[in-house]
Amino acid sequence: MARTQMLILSSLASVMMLFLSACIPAENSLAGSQNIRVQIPISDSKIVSGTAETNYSLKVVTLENVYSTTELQGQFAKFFYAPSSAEKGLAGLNPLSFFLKTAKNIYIPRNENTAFMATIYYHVQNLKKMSDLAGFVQEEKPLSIGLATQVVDPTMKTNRAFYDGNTDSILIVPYTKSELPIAVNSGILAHEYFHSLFFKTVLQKGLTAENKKLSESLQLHLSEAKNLFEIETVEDASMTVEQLSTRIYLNSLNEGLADFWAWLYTKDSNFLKWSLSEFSEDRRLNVKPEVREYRNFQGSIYENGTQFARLLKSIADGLDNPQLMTTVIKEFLVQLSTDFVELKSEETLNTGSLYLFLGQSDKIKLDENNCDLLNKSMTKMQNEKSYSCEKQTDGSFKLIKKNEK
Amino acid sequence: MKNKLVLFLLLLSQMVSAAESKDALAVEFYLPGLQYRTYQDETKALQIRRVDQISLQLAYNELLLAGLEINRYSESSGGSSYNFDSETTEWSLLFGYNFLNYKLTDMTFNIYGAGCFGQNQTQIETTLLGQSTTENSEAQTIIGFGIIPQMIFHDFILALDLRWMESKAYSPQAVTVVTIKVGYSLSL
Repeated sequence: MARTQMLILSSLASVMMLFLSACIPAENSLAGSQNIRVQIPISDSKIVSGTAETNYSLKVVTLENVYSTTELQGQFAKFFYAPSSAEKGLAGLNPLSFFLKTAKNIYIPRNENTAFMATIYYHVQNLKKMSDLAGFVQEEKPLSIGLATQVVDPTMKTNRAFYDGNTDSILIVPYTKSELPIAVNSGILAHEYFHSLFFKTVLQKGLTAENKKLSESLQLHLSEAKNLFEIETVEDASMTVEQLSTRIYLNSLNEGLADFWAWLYTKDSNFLKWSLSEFSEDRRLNVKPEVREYRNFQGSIYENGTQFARLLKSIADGLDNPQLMTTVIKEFLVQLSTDFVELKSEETLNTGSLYLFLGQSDKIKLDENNCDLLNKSMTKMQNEKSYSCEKQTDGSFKLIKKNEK
Repeated sequence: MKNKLVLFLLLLSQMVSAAESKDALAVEFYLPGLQYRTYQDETKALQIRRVDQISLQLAYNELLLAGLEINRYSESSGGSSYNFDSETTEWSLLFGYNFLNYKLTDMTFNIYGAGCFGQNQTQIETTLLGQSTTENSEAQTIIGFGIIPQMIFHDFILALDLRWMESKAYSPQAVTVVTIKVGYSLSL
């Protein structure tokens, strides 16, 4: 009987110990902010026989200043699942992230959503550093990212990503194709990130009384109804022909520069082919730019934008350090912002302003071909032959106004 | 809190004295059990996962229980060129104490208070554009407690194992486990 009692007591003690130890909180949050190593799909571009070749593979990278691994968030990004728009940003659940941790302290995403979060965090972290280096001044707060965003518009419901200036967030809608999900496509993420720079540097500053209607029409309109984003492009019949032209030019620049920014970040000249292959042929940047007509139609913004992006890539290819173009783009946006703010309602933005800026920039050294391309593109756009390419003392070429010679 | 603990222990000791002692050892064999786990997904909604479970137990005097359990579960995501397939294997040791024993002719009803601890390990295969890599998690400790109501009829056992388990892991943090087990008790 004494033996039975001993057994009873020891088993009771073990049950109670288990009961109590089960209440110890799990090691799920990190002490302060920490850098963690994660394995995610990353694109890697290498020069093979003179042409850049891109491949995606699983690599171990570092996510910096992460606060929590169960609801992945940190200094650079925070996530929302199927968010709605609130007065000051996105509203909704912060999704849980699930990792497997290896003996070497590497966090491996255990599902698609966690992989999306880790990959987006990594790219946003790099893109923030890239834009800081270029001189963009941004608020020091994590960028809001919406995953599985529910959109009313049937054309935007799936396989899209967009930046929304009202909530300052990148929104990703469900991906249903069999290609690489948009959320891990580094080129598309860099493209959307650039839209945030364009919005904050140009469009937001242009929200003056004079330009309010035009500025509002340049961004997607989001309703706050329930959990669904309602997206519509504002078509305002009261807008003048000049305002419409300005809108088309700004939209074209926004798209073209965003594609070029994506190339600067990834060196992948056909980044759409991985996820949205149906658009890749029309928008790939590994095509020699030609002098093409600028089309003043809302439906032509990608066509115009791709022409801008191809020309910018051609200029960057001729530079020892293509990353210098990030500073050039930043300076151009600052000038564009000033032009936009000062624009009167009866005026339209000069649609040759990008070509002129590039042709006259002291930061880049143009070769004769690219200078000629800029000049001819500008001439075709404005039907004005007032500039010529002049050789500089260092052997580079610049656009010089003819009567200034 | 301390008072409640003392009361709980007193109550248990009363039930212990009521339990019938047969001074016998039995091996309980169980068919693969039907185990269900509830956990939170990324949307924080409760999800139920079916787990393959096998277990072997030793019962002493219908009073004490010791067992070995092996559980396996897999998850997979798919639909695009980026997929995950993970498989978790888990072993755990079970300790139980029968605090309610009731006999009705040929039927015996028991309720065991049980605790468990063990380890789990996950292997995950990630496929990206046709390339795949496999990684293993470090061994993670699991710990849990619960109750096991069971009915024995002519040595055939029908048991319902209700357990709350927490893995010192990275996901999921805590799960509720329900196992329906059918087995046979062989007296030694």
